[in-house]
Amino acid sequence: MSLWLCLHFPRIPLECLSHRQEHPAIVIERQRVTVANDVALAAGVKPEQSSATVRALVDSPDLQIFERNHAQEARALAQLECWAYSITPTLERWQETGLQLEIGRCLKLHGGLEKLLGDVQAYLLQRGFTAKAGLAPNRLAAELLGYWEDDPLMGVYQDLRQRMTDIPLTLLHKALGGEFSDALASLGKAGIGTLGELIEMPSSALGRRCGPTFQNWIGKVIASHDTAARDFQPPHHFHDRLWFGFEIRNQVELHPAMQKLLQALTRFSRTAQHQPSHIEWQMLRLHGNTEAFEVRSSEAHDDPELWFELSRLNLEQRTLGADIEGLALHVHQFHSRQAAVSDLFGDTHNREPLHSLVDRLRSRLGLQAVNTIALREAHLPEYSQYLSQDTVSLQLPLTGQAQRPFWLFSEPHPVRLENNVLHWNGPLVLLLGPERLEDNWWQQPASRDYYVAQTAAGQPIWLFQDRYSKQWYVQGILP
Amino acid sequence: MADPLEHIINRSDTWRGMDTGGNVFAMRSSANSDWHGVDALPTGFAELNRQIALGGWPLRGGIEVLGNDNDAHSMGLFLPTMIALSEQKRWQAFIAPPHIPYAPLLNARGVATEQILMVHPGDREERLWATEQALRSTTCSVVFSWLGTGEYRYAELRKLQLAAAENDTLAILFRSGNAVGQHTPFSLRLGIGPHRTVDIIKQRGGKPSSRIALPPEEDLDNKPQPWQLPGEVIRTRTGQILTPVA
Repeated sequence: MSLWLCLHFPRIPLECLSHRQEHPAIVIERQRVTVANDVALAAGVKPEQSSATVRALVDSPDLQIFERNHAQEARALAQLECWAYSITPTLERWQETGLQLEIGRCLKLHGGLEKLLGDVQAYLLQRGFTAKAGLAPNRLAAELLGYWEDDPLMGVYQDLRQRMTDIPLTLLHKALGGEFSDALASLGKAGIGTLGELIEMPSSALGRRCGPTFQNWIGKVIASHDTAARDFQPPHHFHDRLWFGFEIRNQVELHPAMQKLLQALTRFSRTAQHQPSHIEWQMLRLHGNTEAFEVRSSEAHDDPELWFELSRLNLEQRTLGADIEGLALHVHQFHSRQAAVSDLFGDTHNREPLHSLVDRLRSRLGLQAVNTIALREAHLPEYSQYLSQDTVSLQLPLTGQAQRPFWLFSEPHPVRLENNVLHWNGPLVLLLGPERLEDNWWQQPASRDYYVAQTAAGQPIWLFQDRYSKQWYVQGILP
Repeated sequence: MADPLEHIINRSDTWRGMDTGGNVFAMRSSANSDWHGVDALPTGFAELNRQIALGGWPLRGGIEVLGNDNDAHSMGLFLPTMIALSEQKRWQAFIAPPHIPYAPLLNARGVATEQILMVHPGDREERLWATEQALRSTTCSVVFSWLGTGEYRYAELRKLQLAAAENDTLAILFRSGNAVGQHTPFSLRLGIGPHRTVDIIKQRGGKPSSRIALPPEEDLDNKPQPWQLPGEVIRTRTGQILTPVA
């Protein structure tokens, strides 16, 4: 027997928009009220009223009127789908404002039905979504019972037909959204007022009166099993946003929202078996530009603590603009999860991953300020290595380089030749050489004779004479 | 005794005074008692190991290296350490280095160049911050930090020393020779002498010592550097224009 949880979000047209909950707010579509918040409802606003009526009823400068935004609603539902995916892979969007989740097969995983519903409720409350929940073996019944029963847990262990006996046909009207209205009207004329009476009718009579399609539909409503057409395919990106409902004044106020969003991301990426290597934050304004910044990690991971720390460091480097009322987290690309390799016998178990230090330093100092050294096969010393932003560099087999400097100057320092004696911090004594290095013939040919010399302080240094200009330069310091 | 005070006294990195008989107060280990853990790393130079009371670089106390404008010269002192630490497969962090370490040399000597992490902080605050981060993170086997000629408060240095004491990261901080008169929280303070010599200016549980030679043959698998070989003929191609100064 399948068990479907239908979550219907009647207020999502309003909840997906940033608004002040303490002031009256309505969403209108074609000049008619679709959704109103509690403050507006208390003032007497009802669905389907015209916006002019609402203005008459609510005489307040704080009245917020929004045009219904289907794109935002769809985005909020997509966000909810990604969250629901961490509960079950069998889920689908239902009507315009609902989700259906098949949870019969994952109850044990989530610690039982009551625990699961508790978690669902807590999450939705935390994210500011109002939902009607219904539980039934099939999707149609789950939706109907969601409207009808106050507590989905009360009836779930009872007989399905029994639970539906008293559902009035008017509610079917609402659930069907205008479909079968003729059939329902004709049933009404025949004195049938509840779903129970409808189910009790002989099937031949029902078929005659309402047609085979409706009969078929009734069969589905009381079915004890129901399967979705296909499993949910998680998207390869992640978008989530939070509206604060007030203007934030300092960065610290952003932290809880960051943590919430990162938790949602972690939850999603762990279920979908992929990890981000860079994330984007957007600080949202009601009107005007959003401010975005990216946080990168040199390795893909889904540790919310680590991402939070990197984001916090990054945020500290910025000045916060005015009027920021929301925060969004975007991941445009995921990498497939790599199995963590752990060393059973090493003493590395208490260590944090190597890349975490790099990421932390880069978050504050910038990407360019932290790099590694990579080798390159080239003859001229200044080209035989380069600074790399990648933390994994290729090792070239190089031998016979033991007589090289420890430090290489970024620019060679000119050496003075005076009375046939080289001077650099005092007179120099040549110890070893020459060793000719030539390269770069395709752009600016270089030919140099390299020597090891000793400074007056006894320090060996590495110097060369440019064979074209005859000028001497110090290029490094030996260990 | 007040608890916070007792806590400080019981820390292994706190120095304790002696009573009149010359015994360290209390029996528990302190920074200047004879008891020490195995928190030392051989320096790669026999004479230096002998002169340092711990028998090698203190892993938890921090090393302060005082030098003059060319701190850069002293890296031969730490090359054996870098080679030894390569086994640990952790970062060898260079914070605000004066130049770029030359990878072909390091590679030829057996230092894992891919472990070298170059960090270029912008200012003094960032320098201290990056050093502390590197020391606190468990991802570095050694942190070399060039603090430069700036003035540092004792509290700032103590913070670094505490970070170094927290885990097995070798902390090596280069400072200007002008700092010699200031107090140091680090357990070993070195001075750079003439080429390939080092002075122990101050150390916990040990004596100062000067002009400790660092024979190059010790850090190069007993192979002397060619320019150290006696009677090495200097082959200059032109010969004429150069008169080596004796």
